[in-house]
Amino acid sequence: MKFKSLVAGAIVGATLLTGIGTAGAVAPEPSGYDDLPDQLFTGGSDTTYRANQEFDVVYNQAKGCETINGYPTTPAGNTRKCIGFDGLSTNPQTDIKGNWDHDVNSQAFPTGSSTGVKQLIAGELDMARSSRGPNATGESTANFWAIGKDGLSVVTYGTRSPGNFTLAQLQGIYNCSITTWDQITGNPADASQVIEPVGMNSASGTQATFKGFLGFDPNAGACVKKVDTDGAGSAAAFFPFENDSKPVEASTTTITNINNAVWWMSWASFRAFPYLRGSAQQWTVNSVAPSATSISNNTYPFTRFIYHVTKKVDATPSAVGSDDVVGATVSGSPAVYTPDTANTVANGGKSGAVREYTEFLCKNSTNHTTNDYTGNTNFVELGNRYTLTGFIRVPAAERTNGVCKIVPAP
Amino acid sequence: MMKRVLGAAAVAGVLLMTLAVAAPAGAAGPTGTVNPNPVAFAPGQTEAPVTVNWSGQAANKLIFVDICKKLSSDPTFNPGQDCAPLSSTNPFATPTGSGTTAYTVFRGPDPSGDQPWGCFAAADQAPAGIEKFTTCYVRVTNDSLFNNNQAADIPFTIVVSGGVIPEAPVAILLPVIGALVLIGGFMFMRRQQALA
Repeated sequence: MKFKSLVAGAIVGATLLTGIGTAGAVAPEPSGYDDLPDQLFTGGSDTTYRANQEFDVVYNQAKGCETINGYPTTPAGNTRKCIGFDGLSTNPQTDIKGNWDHDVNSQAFPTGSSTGVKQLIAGELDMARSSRGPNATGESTANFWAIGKDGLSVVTYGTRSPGNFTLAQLQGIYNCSITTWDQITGNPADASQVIEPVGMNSASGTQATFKGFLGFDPNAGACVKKVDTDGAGSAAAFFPFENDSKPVEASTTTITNINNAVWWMSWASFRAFPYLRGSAQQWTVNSVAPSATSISNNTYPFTRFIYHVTKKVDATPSAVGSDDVVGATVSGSPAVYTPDTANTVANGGKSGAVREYTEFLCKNSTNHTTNDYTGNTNFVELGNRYTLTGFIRVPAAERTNGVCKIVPAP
Repeated sequence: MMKRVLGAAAVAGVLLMTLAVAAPAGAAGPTGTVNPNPVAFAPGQTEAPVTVNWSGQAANKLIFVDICKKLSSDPTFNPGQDCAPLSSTNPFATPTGSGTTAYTVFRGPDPSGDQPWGCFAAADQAPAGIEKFTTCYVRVTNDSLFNNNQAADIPFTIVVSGGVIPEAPVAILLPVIGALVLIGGFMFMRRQQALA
């Protein structure tokens, strides 16, 4: 009798151990997935807000593990976890190219690229959106993943017919040395038309990018206008947030004649959102029109990448040129980040979820699976979202990892 | 007799000229042309300059010009996957809704490398995994890329120089023939009058 009990106990024990032993193989990505749904929060850029919202839709609905759907569960709290998360069974899903854990990402309302990056570094966000590249200092813990390309459209309003600005003319307009439209058009009749350059919120990545192109702060000139959306006058005026022409066109107290105003905005926003564009018309710069081709091949002078920003420890390419994303270990001073290909960094939690979300945005088309709602692959679905929001993907010649270009902050 | 001949010639000439005007449009609304069309490419050439003209677009609205593989009227049309992402350009809006722009069309797979289709000459061999279209469209619309209601889809084809270039398009031939018929009728009438 005792012997039988011993054998039975051994069998049960062995079965349990076997179950636990195979559990780790259920989740497809040991570097990021843990069979548990995590919620991520991303914030920052206004320019990329709509695009990232669209990318979230694709990611959040991507297929993954079969889940525990009952409620309540015994033990409690297991609803939405992957079947087999406890190692007691095997998940029936075999497609591992979507969002296995059914993690969920959402986008906070824009506060500007710089604010978003600061919040990420401070641990207040899981990921950040940025329409500018990394700063030279203060952001060394972050990886900037270029996920798309954009340009800056220089625009005028109302009845002003678009033409061509040279970079020197734009510098002159924003440093207030070029003050009347005849200096641009060559038409003496424009001598009485005073150019009214408009500035931009300094937390904005679009402001930072234009600053880089001009070589100085476009808000600094005495002639540069703020906007006043409530008619209270210049005392309450402010530099407007990027890409929305409405405050510029509505600012009748600080801008004397909207036909004389000059501003700049995201080319993608300009194209994709007529309501933001208003009456704005874009000019050529150095005789090159902003277009998908001229931005892709950098012949248009004002091009930029848009970025998905993570902490290096959360998401780093597993190898040069790879679209596989892993965590990173950090050592030394100054810090050296080493891809965690041995998976010693915690697999799960938000850190792992950041890893998998990043990989989803960057991986090559062949590593995506079918979208259950459209029958397209998620690569095509993401591509449709780029088009919808006016951006283009990172051009093939500039990709370093999958369809992204990694720019580690120095 | 002479009057009948003259009348018939006039009717034929006017009819042909009317057809010529109607032919490119096919229906009322936005129209456009791509010149030259067919577009001649040298062997190995993958880009060629053309001129795109349009009319009937909304006045003072941003213009979108793209290369697509489907008609905008196709219920499955989606610019994100049916148009080439790097072909998109935005010429200046005009007060008349008509305009013209220099443009570049491509031959071969979508230049972005992300779309599994391309525009090819009939004799071209598409690479594996790339769907071959021998008629593509220069699509002109206004205000938004997604404005299908006012889109003009201008078909174009590609020929490789050295191959047989098709005859001049109907839009050019018909008015020329119409004018020749009218002139012929006039000359015939003059001759008859001189003989009388």
